[in-house]
Amino acid sequence: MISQRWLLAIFVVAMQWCSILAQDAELISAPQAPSFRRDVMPVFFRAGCNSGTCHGSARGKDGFMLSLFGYDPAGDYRRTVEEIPGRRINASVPQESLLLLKATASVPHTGGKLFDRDSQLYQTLLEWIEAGAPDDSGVVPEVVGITLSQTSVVFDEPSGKSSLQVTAKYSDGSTRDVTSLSRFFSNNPSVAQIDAQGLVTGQGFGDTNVFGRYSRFTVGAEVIVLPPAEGFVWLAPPESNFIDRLVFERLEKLRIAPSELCDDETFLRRVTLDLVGRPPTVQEYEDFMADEKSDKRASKIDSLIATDDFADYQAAMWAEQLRIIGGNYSTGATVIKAADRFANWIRDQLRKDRPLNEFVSEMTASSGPNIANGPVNLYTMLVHKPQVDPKMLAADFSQVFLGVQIQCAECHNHPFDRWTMDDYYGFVSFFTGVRRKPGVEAREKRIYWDEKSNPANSPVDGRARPAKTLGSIQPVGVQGDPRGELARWLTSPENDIFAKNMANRIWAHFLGRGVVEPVDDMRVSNPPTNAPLLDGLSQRLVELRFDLRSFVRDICNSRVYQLASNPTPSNVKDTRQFSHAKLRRLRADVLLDSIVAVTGVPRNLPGWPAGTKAVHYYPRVSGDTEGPHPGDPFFETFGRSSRGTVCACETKRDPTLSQTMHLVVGDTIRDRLNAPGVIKSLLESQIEPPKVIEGLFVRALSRKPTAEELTDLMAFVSGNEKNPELYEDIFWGLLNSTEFLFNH
Amino acid sequence: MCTKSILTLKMLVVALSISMTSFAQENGVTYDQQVASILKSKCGTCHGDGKQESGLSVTSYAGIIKGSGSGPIVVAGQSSTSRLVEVVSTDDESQRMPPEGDRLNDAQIATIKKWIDTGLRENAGSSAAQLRTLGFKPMATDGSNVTGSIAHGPVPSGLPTLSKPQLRRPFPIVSLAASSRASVVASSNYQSIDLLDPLTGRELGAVPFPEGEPLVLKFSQSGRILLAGGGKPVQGGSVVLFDVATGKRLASVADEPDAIMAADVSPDETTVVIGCTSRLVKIYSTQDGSLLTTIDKHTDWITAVSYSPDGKYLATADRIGNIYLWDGKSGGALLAFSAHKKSVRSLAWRSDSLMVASCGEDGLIVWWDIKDGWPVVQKPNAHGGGVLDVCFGAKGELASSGRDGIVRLWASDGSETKQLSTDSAVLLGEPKDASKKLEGTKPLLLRVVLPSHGESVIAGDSLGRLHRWQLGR
Repeated sequence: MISQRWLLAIFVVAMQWCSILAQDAELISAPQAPSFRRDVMPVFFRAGCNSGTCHGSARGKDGFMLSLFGYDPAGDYRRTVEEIPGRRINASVPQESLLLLKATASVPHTGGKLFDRDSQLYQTLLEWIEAGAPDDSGVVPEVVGITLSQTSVVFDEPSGKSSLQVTAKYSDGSTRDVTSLSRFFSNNPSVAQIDAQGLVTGQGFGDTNVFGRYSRFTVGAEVIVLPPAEGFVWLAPPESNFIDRLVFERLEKLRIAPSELCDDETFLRRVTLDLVGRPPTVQEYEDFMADEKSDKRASKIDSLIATDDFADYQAAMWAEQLRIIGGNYSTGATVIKAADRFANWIRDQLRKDRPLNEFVSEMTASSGPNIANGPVNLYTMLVHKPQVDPKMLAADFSQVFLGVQIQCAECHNHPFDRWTMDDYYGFVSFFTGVRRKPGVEAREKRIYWDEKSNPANSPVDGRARPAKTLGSIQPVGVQGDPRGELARWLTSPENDIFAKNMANRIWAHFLGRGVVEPVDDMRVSNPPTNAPLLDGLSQRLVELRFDLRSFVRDICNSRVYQLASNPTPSNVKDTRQFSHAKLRRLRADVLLDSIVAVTGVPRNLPGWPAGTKAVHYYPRVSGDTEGPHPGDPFFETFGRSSRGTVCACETKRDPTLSQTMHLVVGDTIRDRLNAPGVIKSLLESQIEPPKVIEGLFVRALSRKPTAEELTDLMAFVSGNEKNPELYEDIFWGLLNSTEFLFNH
Repeated sequence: MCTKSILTLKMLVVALSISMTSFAQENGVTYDQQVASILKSKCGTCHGDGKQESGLSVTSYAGIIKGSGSGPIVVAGQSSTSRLVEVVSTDDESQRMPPEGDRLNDAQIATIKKWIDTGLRENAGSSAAQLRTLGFKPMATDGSNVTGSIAHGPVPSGLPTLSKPQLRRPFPIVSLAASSRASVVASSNYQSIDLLDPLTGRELGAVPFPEGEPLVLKFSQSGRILLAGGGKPVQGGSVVLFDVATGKRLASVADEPDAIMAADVSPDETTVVIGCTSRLVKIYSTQDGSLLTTIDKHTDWITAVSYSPDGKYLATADRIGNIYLWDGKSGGALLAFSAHKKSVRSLAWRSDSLMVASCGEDGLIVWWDIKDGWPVVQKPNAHGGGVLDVCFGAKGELASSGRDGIVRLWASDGSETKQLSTDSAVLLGEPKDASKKLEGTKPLLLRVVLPSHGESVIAGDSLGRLHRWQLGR
């Protein structure tokens, strides 16, 4: 009996102990509540709640706002949980929370159904709300970077498939597979698509990039869908320099055969237009064609590059990018004298081979009166406003000198690049002290740094962000004017953003397309089409100590630059890999100069002395210089930069109907045809009509007519061989041909 | 000797500056005496009689009153909303005036502000703006003085026991109301409304609200009816009128696609007004539930609607900070009150129907004179993070609560008299797991009431707790 009681007692005690153990086990194994920053915000990101078209828009959507892609976690917590207590989050009856009802479309939701009740995303939100929708306390490890499981995917056939995983790395050193919480996109879905699970599927031949996004990071992987290997033979064209090697390596990998070398006539016209902004003269044509030396192309390049015309044409393009414009009574500081001084200063620097980094550096760090001191007009011309606007100045400065658009980060971390709001406001602080005050001369402004100025404040926490270069952690930490440090960092050979931007812009001028295109939108999600090429070009520019003439000489001497525009069967669809010359419509100013050059009749430009070349023209106005100023109507029609913004897209190269109409019936060509000179002197000097026709061809197109063209045109003039009107018609036809309008 | 004379000089300077100050205070700031010289020297080059940039001339009194091409730049009594003050004091350099050169110093800006706030006087001869006070005389609308004792309104008794839904944790006190005729307070619960005696903390029972969340609670003027408005977010909303004494449902009006966020019952109990996320204010008859009037003036969610105690007026407010005053009977538009820059959270009428107070997420509390919409007193930054509720007491005093977790009391002249933290409060009602601290959630004081006995303040928080402070006499 006693022993039974004992047994019972022991049993009871044991039972209690067991249940205590079980309770402890439950406590220990009870899953930790999801963290708002680590677990809940990624759901908003993955489901698209905080994207720009939904609640991430600047004013939110339907009354509920989230920060775009989650740049402001504290604000997102407040708006989700505390703004209207009990509504979006109902911690008393969690499944009744509007957040869950909306996301599952259990109640009307403009954004539709985002996930199911049995999904992991739903479960995460529910568990968080069940735990009381707590805010994070203490330090939550931040995502410091993400990686993709592959950086290059090559498919041998269009239907290839391959999976990508995204791994996030945290500030505490831990990593986590976040594939199911990431977002994916393809830059060209007709080459490769990527689905929500990270599965890449080939679609058509070519190359593109796919991207995974998580937190504030975007990383890409190259995807190549190869055309069939059968029938493709790599003929290994000769290489002139490093450029050919880098381009041909890429082409061979992609199974694209480059075009043949262009003929001498095409080369001469192309290189003359590109280097000095006009077609070759008849004399230049004849000399070059008569030259029988094997290195005559290199000699031609050398002689053109050595001219002042080369430097002046480059200076004109800088003037365009830096928005030089003269306005005598503008509220800004863009007085004509200052504009002239700035333009002349740029021209002098380029004529005397000032290294590009020094040239930019001097402008960046400059102070002083703007009529006496040319380079200081960077701070009057880049942003035409009554006052210096530091934010706009920072954005435009970065776009021009770094090819990077940071202005997205004014209001949120850049969604498709690495730039954060800290980067942006730190960069703005390089300009917050730049001021203007009246100078000595009438309408002169003196640019100075106001020692009493404060750095820019970030709107997220209202705290100041002292001047800091892009991508660095620490501010530059100088007392007073930080622009010297900016200039030093910007143009240092170690700053590959600057070198790449310079190299890419110069390359784009000669090849018609940047390795990164558009040239002023370099970002993670817009990668180079040939990364080794861009690296090679920028390294070469640094190696040449930023010497423009030497760098251009390399480009023009490459076989890639001298390829024909006629495609091969394998490169006919290529637009990104420089396998054949791109047909480029002449810039508006070069076109006008070309028409003047071949007709021999000058064209006056408003506000400028007779004989001024169109490439050197910039608008001179009496009033305000803000906003677009195309100047001459011809420029407006043919898309010359209106200097309204610093965007590279200001210079338009697309053909339009009004351009065709202008050339067909407008006064630019019509009035120059029957003018005394060209045709009359040809008729007088060349007795034989075929020679007259040939002369017109060489003049307009830098080539001789084909036998077929000559036969047709001889039939056209036969019987009236001395009538100048017939030759005028032929000349008219040549100047209206696409061959004349394009560099090919 | 030397020291002494310096001392004397210092005293003289002090004496002088004191007399200068008092002189300025007596005479106030006028355009001719102080403001014109500042504006002429700082702005006259571009905004003068000759060059009038943006169509603005500030060098004459008529010019500055006329304003610029895009509207007035000074609003009498409201320096904070005057464009002139905004442009001279902003830190945004692209906006600031003058565009170049030194900005106005603090003293100059202060002078301009004072000039605006004291009524834009032209010169010493101009009539000084009437100096307004809150001027409250405690009177009940029916003529009986209620400050001494509580009139005998109905008190709930014998209410049936309610089986309340199981909640994971208490529902936030999203609404709270006190009867002006009896010692009764109603507070929101999930799908029910709790009634209790604020003097003793005793529970008086609960009434069911199966419609969902009671987002707004109001007692009628007589204390006979309890209005509850609410519903389930984006699923449906309506207003229910309860008999306070018995807890019986008297009527249900309105059928909205979203929970009703703002509602009130007219003092004569003939109409109910509601405000919704649909941006519409609707007035219903309590007799037959018919829709009498719809007001579509607001352009965002309606956050507060409130009848004046005498029933003559209706005030409505929305989520972007607009407040309108309407005729309480016809719904005709009377005035627009503009001061709030963010959502208005609450409107409260003083018992004499001459003054309405508003508060909002911008941290501002305003006492409005309803004669002409004049903001008699403005309290910016009254509560850090935003003011969530205001209510008037019988003696014209105001209580406010906010995101800072604090209740403030303001005397009938607008001066702050007390600041109450939840640490010094007593928790009312059943102990709702007060021991269970919630990590990472900070309680917000969502609602505040001044029960009619005038001895305590009660505030409800986002964790579903009611806090009471005894005020003492």
